[in-house]
Amino acid sequence: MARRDGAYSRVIAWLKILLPMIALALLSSLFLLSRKSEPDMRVPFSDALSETDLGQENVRRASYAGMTERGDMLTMTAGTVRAVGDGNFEAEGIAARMTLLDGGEVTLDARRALMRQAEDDMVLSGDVLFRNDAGFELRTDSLTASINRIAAQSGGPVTGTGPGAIIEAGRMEIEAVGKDDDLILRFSGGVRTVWQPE
Amino acid sequence: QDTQVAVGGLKQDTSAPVEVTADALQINQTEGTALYTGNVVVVQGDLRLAAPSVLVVYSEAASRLERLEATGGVTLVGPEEAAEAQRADYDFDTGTLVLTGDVLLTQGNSALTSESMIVNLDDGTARMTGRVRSVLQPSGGN
Repeated sequence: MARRDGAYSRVIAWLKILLPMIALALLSSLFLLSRKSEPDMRVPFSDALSETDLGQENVRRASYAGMTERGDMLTMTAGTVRAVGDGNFEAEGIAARMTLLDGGEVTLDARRALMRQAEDDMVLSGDVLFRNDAGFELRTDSLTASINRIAAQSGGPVTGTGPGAIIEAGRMEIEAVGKDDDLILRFSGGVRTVWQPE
Repeated sequence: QDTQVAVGGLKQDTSAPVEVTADALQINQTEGTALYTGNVVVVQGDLRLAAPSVLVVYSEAASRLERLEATGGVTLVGPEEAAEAQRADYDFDTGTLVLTGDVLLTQGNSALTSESMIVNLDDGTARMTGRVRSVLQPSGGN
């Protein structure tokens, strides 16, 4: 084929450069776009279980890990877990540990826990023990704790110890507040504490 | 002018346990503070301090009490003395209790008023400063 005039071949030459460049750009933007739509990491305990077929029968040694809205890590282990209808689960011998954004740690142990999917919380009962790295160790009979953020209230009286103090109170609430989420413990219903200055 | 006053009854071992009772308590762990509100009563040995609100500052590291600030009108009662003021600051390290604002100290049937009073709990002495005046109670009045 006779050689066409220069224009044609010049266009082809340009295309040979432009087309791969466009392909490359398309490819990388695709990659970038996909990173933004990260799957939601926060899968409540009950959803995680109901998705698996194990949700129906008793499960031995169940464990769960997830993240609260602000990014604290929550891990939970339970002796036995069984479904009790409408997405709720009952667990025996539950141990939950939350690693806070600022590195602090909170642990919650109880004999029984009812995981309520609708409320996205768990109702702990039977020798409930709250501990954290600041030296608080508080016991109560029942405590309702939210799963997707740091918030809990005791169902009744609380007794225990804090750094250098013995604490007894009618009720307790735990919450992370403020922009850097300070952990606040609110006691009410009558409070008695004994501090040891030395 | 300052007035030195012996307040033997307020002599207190500042390392003795401190019991605090109240309607409610809010502990902010990051700040290391415990805010008591509602009928707050602080008892250490024979000393009893009552106020509507008391902020306790504790050291998490040494896990002990450092100081407390009682505000909103304070009454302090010892075996022999009683005192009233708007505010009281108790520093457990230095063993000093500072009362400020309309201070009234009553001992037996004599009473002194001043703007502030610094009590050294280790040796049971106090220094009253700011418009110190003695108020003679009618004898047999109390």
